[in-house]
Amino acid sequence: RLMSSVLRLCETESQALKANLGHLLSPEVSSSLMWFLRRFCLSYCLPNESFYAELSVVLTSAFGRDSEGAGWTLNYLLGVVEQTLRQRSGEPGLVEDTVNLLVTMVDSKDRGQLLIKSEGLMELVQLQQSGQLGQMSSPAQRGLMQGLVICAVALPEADGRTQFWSHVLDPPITAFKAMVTSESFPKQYQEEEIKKQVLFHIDNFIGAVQGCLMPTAQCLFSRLVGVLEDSVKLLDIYHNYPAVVETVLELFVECGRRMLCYLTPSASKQLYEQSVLLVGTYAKHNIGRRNVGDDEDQWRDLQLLMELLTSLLSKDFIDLAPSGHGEDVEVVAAADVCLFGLNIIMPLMSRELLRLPTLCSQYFKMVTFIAEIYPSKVCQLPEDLMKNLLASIELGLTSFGPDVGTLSFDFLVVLGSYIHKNCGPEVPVRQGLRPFLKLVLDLILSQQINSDLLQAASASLYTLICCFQTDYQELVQALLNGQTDQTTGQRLAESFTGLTNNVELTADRINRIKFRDNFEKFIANVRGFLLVK
Amino acid sequence: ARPCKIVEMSTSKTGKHGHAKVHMVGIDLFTGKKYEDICPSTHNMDVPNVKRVDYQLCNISEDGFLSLLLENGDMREDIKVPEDPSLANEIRSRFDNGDDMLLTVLAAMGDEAVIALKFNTK
Repeated sequence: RLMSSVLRLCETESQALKANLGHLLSPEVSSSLMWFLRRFCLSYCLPNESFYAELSVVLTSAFGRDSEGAGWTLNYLLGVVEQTLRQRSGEPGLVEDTVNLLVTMVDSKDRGQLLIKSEGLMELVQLQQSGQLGQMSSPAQRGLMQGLVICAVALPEADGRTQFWSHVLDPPITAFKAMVTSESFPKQYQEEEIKKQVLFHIDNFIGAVQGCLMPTAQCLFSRLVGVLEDSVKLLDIYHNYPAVVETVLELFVECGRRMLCYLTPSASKQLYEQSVLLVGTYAKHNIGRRNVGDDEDQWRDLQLLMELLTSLLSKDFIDLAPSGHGEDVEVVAAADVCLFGLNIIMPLMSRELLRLPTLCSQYFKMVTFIAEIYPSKVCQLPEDLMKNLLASIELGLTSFGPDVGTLSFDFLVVLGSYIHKNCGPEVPVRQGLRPFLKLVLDLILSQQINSDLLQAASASLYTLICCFQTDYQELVQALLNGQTDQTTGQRLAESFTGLTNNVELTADRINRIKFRDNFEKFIANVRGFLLVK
Repeated sequence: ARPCKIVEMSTSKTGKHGHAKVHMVGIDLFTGKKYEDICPSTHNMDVPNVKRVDYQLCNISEDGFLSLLLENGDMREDIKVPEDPSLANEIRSRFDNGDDMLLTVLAAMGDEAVIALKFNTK
């Protein structure tokens, strides 16, 4: 009875909308309605009967498998979704709740199979393709496409899926291709209408990628790779138009985030290649760039670029691609993208840009992540870029808050550990790292390090000591010699002895942890009596 | 009407069941003046036709006019050094340094101004 009341409420709203009385409806009530329907679908509409030892007969005969009610309700709800997205796209909260409902509806094999055959789905597809431009907000457009693409999972056989893609995905792809390759495009691209169309198309593809799931990732990607190629060209043409640039970058970021982990090696390589082209195109138009009134807004594109690089690197952490394809593709690609990307981004990350909080945080996340996964590539950076990188790490230790501080210390640990194992003393990057030993030690002794960061600082101190053991001895000796008071000098010497007591300087995890315990005692000892001269 | 860039946009409702209203803060693209407006989220906003073109900088005259080279080889000398001091300084110092640079000129509703610079990579 509850359900039928709710459905009657839906119908009331629907009739109001049809009669142009939508302004009388409360968006709050509609949002709550969507929320309710979503929870209903999740648990009661075609529930997985194997999960339950007992199920209410009333519910299963109304909404369970093989019930007429299930199919009817789903089809009706699709209509509700379609109408809401079409006519009430101006209410952001409502759009979000409606998209959530749609995604929940389609995100189940059982429901998906019914939905695929329903009329309501065809109407949604029509809305997506023939809807007037600008009628739906960007989140609505993306959400709609996301829902449609998720449906494909319900079709296990290749034929069914191919047919589905041909209805849902191929038309937008064809329309997009036609637009960007048309002869008039190079002359018209600056017009507002054309720009709107471009954004509309890319929003669709972003939504499609957001609907990517493991079974559909590979075929989705192979259909979209042409779009990625054309999008790089769009970045070139529209390099002065932030709205387009950022949207193209968002598309790539989503591919990295949502699809990459499921792609085969050769498909991954394609994504890397397109990303390299993207980064290069961005660089071409942004080297030495300065804007009027530089602020976070103006540099959102750089932030997205860094997110992209970080997400591409995650493939090495999370690789869920089907194995055993017998492909002999080089795995070097990700490392090369990251090195190339670093080479582009480093010159752009000036001190001024580091002052922008989101950009700063994204930058440090990225470089620390790269150093962790590809320390060898970091060591291959050209000298001037390496200097800039290390200078930014030095700043990061103290200037940008605890989160960036922790990342900077972590950077020293991962790079230092690599250098300790693999680099001889003459290697430039080793020389570049040397000053950090004294720097970190001074920071610790002068109590400039926040207590949240002491653990990270301890790990980095240990690693640096391992790398530069002679330097460390000299520094300690200099400190002891500089003590005028004998008692202090004695206590200090004892503290330092305790610091490396029982710890092997091998830069491995076990000894790093032993060092940390010593370090805590060391800090307790020296605090209160030590002043660094 | 002035062409503006929206720098802040927030949605709010009048009361729990109210419809969404959007509060927008815009900065005039040329004068930097701040404008605010509130309108229902279903309204269509007029968007200025904006063109952004890169020109190669050839010279800065004594009275602050830029000599800009177009792609077709024509020269235009009717655009002044931007008012924003840090951008203007950067342009002058790079020019004095002999750097080859491109200036991005924004054109909207009859006005034009330099909004960005970058190195010439062509």
